[in-house]
Amino acid sequence: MLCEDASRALYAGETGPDLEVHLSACEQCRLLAEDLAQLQRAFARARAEWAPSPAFRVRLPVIPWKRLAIAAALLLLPLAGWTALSLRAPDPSRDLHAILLPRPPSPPPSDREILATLLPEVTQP
Amino acid sequence: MAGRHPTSDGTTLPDEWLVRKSRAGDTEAFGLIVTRHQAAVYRVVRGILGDPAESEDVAQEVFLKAYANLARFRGDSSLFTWLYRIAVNEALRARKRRVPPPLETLPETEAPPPEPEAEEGAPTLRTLQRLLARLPDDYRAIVTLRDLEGLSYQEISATLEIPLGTVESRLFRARQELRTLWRKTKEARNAL
Repeated sequence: MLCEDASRALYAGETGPDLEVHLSACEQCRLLAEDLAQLQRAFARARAEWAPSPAFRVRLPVIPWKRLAIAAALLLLPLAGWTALSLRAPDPSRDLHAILLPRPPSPPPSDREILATLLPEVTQP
Repeated sequence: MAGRHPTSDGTTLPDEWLVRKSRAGDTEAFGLIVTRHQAAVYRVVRGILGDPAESEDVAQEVFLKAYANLARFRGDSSLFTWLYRIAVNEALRARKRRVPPPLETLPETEAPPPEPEAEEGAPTLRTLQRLLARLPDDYRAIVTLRDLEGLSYQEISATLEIPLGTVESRLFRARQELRTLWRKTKEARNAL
């Protein structure tokens, strides 16, 4: 086996008797095999140790139809309240109709009534 | 694949069923998907980004993106392949978004601080992170998927959407580059 084949096999992670024979005789390729093995040990440690912290959480966003339902509820609640209020029996003191429409004219006071207002002691029996 | 990725949520519900339930608005089903795949997604992101806190943020983004796009998941590939694809893309995007120049772009001459190596001369996790950070993006992604996650060539091909031959050649060059960096690091330490 040539060094080129040995290095190709080592980088591809292959093993075999031919490679072993070559490595026992070639210092350069043995060094390469050693370096790659060391890197693989580090990767194995990383695989075991690199983990998310216990506080790791994925907070999902509210799904669209739920968002729509919340928005609809926020809009409908005040609307329902307003509707309920407006359906109640009208308060006469707040009757806009009564305020805006002109009242029928009252008859003018009689002479006796005017006198009674101006001179109450004279008109008393 | 199920053998290498045992369900960490303690359930035997298949991914496909959980996807169907999630699509119908079952957030608990999606929660199980998260529980099942979060460690793997995090590791892939961590392998590409390096920083633990940033990796958690991006892993969250991966799941949010997956949730938002569940309707587009056709099931042609397995769920984990699809999640890995989103994870690789999001991690690479996050890396590009970084404003300050990353540590790994510093000149080669700047030797890393001395650090005790792990047993049998293997690089520490910090060193491994630094070595990965110096690889080009596509090399880092493929090495992460193969050497960190242990995906098969076919799975990598499906995840990165590249031909099998490209997986082999790119992985070969990526490992070559990684080994060169590791050798330089060792030699720099020996020279100190």
